[in-house]
Amino acid sequence: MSNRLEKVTICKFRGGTCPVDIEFDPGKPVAVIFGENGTGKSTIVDAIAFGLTGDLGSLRFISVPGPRKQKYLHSIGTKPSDMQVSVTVGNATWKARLGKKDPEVEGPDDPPQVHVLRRVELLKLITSEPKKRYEAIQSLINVQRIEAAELELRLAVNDAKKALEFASERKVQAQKILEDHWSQSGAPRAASALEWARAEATGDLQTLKANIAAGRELLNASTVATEAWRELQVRAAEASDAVGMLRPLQERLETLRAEEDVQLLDVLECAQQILDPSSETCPLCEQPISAEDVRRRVANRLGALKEVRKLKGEIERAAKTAETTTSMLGQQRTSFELRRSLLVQQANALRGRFELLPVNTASHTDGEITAYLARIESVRPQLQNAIDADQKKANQQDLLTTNISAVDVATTNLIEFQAKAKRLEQISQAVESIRKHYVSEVLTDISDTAARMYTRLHPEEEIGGVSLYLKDAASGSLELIGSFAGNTEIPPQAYYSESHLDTLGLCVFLAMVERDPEAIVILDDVFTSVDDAHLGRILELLHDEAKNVGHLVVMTHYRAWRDRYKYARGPASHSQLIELLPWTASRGIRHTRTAPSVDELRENLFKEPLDRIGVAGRAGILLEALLDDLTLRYRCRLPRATDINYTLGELFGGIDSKLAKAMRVMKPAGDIALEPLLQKLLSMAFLRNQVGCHFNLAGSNISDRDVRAFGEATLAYAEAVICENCGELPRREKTGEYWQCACGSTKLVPLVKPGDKAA
Amino acid sequence: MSEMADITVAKRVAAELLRLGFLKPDRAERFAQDLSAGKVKSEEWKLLADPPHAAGAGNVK
Repeated sequence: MSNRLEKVTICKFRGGTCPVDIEFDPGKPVAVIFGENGTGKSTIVDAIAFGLTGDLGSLRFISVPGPRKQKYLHSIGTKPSDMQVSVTVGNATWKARLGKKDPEVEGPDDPPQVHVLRRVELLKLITSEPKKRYEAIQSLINVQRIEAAELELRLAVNDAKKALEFASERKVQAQKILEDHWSQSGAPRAASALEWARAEATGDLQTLKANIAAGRELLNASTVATEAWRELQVRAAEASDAVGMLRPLQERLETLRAEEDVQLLDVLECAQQILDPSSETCPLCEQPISAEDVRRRVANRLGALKEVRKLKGEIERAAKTAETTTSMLGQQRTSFELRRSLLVQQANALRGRFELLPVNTASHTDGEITAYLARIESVRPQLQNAIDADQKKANQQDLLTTNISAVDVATTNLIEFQAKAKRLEQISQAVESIRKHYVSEVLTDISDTAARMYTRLHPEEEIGGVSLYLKDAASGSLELIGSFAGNTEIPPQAYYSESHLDTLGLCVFLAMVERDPEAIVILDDVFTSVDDAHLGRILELLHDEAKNVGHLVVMTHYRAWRDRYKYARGPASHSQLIELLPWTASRGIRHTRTAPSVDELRENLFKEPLDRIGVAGRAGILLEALLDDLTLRYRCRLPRATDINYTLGELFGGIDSKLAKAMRVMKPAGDIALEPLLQKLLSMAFLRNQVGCHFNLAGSNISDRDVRAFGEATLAYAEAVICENCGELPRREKTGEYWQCACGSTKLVPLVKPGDKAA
Repeated sequence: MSEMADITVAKRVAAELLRLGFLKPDRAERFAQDLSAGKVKSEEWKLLADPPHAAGAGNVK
C-alpha cells in the first residue's frame, strides 16, 4: 500500500502541454489507463519515471538530433524552465525539472523504484543477445557492495601472491649468490653452498672490521703527521728569514742616528747665531755666516731625518713579520706534536700485528723525527696490503651473512605467505561461490516464476520450460532456453511466434520485477493485439501478480482490455480504470474515470428525470455482456451465425430450463437462485429494443416505471452474479466443482450444464 | 532491493567464514554488516587470512 501512486502532475512535459493531474486510487493494486493512440499514454509513463528518478524514459530508445536528449523533454513550443513533473507516492512527493545540464529531482531519499516495460523492450528481453539480456536483468541480480568487497579480496590475494613471488625470488637470488661464491672459492667440501657459507661466516667480523679501521687510521695519521712536519719546516724557514731581515735594518738605524746627532748640533748652533741680530760672524772661525748656507744645511738635515723615519717604518714591519712567523711556527709545532703523538700511539698499538713499524725513541731532533716518519711511510705498502686483505675477507663475510640471512628470512616468509595466500584463496573461492550461488538462485527463481506464469498463459500449448542461466565461461552473459513441441533446451526466439515471444517477455519481466516487492511496475502498451482467451488469462495473471509489487499500472490502447473491466470480466473492484480523451496541443492530456457499466446503470437509475434511453440502453448492453459470459461459460447452444454478436433473445434462448433451474450463486451473505431473476428479465427484454435502441411508436407507450423496472432487474441480476468484493464474474475454474471470481468469495454452480460432461 | 541482495549474500559469506574458522563468532555479525556495505577492504581481508595465532586473525574491524 505504501508504494502506490497517488498523484502525478504534469506540466509542459512531453505531450502534457497543459497542466494536468492524474489521481490514482492507492486502494487498488492495479491501475489501467486506456487511451487510443496519441492520447498521452507514453507521456504519463515517462512522467512517472522522470518525476521519481529523472530518467529520460522513452527518449532513451529513440534517436534525436544533437547529443542532449533532455532538451526534448519539455513540450514543444514551451521553455524548459516551465516544465515540471511531480509524483506523489504514499505521503511523499518528488518533483523533477530540467536543471542547467541534467534533470534535477527534489524529494526524500530513496524514491520508489520504477520498472517500465515498453513495447520496444518487450522482445529485447527475449531476442537480444545474451549480453544485452544480462544488462536488462543486471540491476535485479547485482550485489554491487559484495562485488566491491570481492574486488578488494582479489587485491589481497594478488598482494599475497606477489609477496610469495618476491620471497621466492629473493631466496633464489640469495642462494645463487652463495653458490657463486662457493664456486669461486673452489667449491670446498660442504653439504651445500648454504652450509659452506654458514661455516665461512662464523669469523669475528667485528674484530676484522676494527683492525681494518685501525690500519686505515694509522695510514691516515702518518699522512697527516708527515704533512704537518713539512709544514713545520716551512714555518721555521719563514720565521728565520723574518728575523734575518730585521737585524741589518736595526743596525743601519743606529748608525744613522749617531751621524745625525753630530751634524744636527752643528746646524742648530749656526741657526742660533743667525737668529742673533748682533752677530754677523761665526764665533768659532770668525767667518761671516751666510744665511743661505744655513738654510741649505737645515734642508739636508731634514732630508736625512726622513730617511731615518722611513727606516723606522721598515723596521716596524719587519719586526711584525718576524713576530707573526714566529708565532705561526709555535702553533705549527704544537699541531705537529699532537699529530706525531697520535701517530706514535697508533703505531705502537699496531706493532703487535705489524712488526715492521718503528719504535719511537725518546730523542726528538729533527733528524730523528724525519727518520721516524720515513720509517712509517716505508711500510705503507705492506700495511695497505694487509688492510685490503682484511677488507676482502670482511666483505665476503658480510655478503655471506647478508645472503644467509636473506635465505633464512625468505624461507620463513615463503611458508607464512604460502599459507596466507592459500587462506585468502580459500576465502575468495568461498565468497565467489556464495555470490554465484545466490545469483543462480535468483535466476532459478525468476525462471521458475516466469515458467509458471507462462504455463498459465498458455496452458495447453507445447511451449514453456523457460530457464535463464548465466553462461559460465562468459562474463555478464544471460542465456535463455525453453521448450517447443516436445523439444527442450531450444532458444525460444528461434521457434516461438511473435505473440508467444511477447507473452514470454512479459512473464520474464514480471518474474524479474517481482523481486522488488515495493516497486512501481508499468506496462506501457506492450501488446498490439491479443485474442480473447489469452487476454482473459493475461488479466488474471496480472491481477494475481500485482500482489507481489507495489503498484501495477497497465497502459493500453486495446479497448477489449478496458471493456473487460467495464463488464465485470475482470476484477474491476481491484482495478482503477482511467480513460484518456483525445489529445490536442491546446488542451494537452485529458482523462476521465471509467466506471464499470453496473455503476453507470445504477447512477442512471437515480437520475431525475429518468433517462429512458440511457437506462434501457445501458441495461440492455450490460445484460448482453452478462448473458454472453454465462452462455459461454455453459457452452449453451446458440444459432450459428457469421456475426458472433447475439441478440438478447438468442442469448436467453440458449439457456435451457434445466440449466436455469440449476444455476445458483453462492455468496458469503447466502445463495441466490438465478432462474427467477432470468425469468423476470426475459419478460422485459423487449424494452431494450423498443426504448433503448430503436425508434418506434410502441416504445413511447412504455412507462418510465417499466423502463426503471427493467434497469433495476438487470441491476439485480448483475449484483447477484458479480462479486461485491473484487467486481468480477465467477468465471474461473479452480476446484473442478464451481466457477469462482478472482477473490473466490463469489461462486457459481453448476460447473457444467446439466447433461454435459466436464471438459 | 540490491541492498537486500547484498545483505543476504553478506550473511551467507559470514556464516561460511565462521564455519571455516576465519571469523570468530563475536565478529561474524559485524563482519556481515561491513561486507554488505562494501566496507571490507583488502587489508581487512588480509587480517582475516592471518594465521590463527596471529594478533589480527579474525579481527576484522
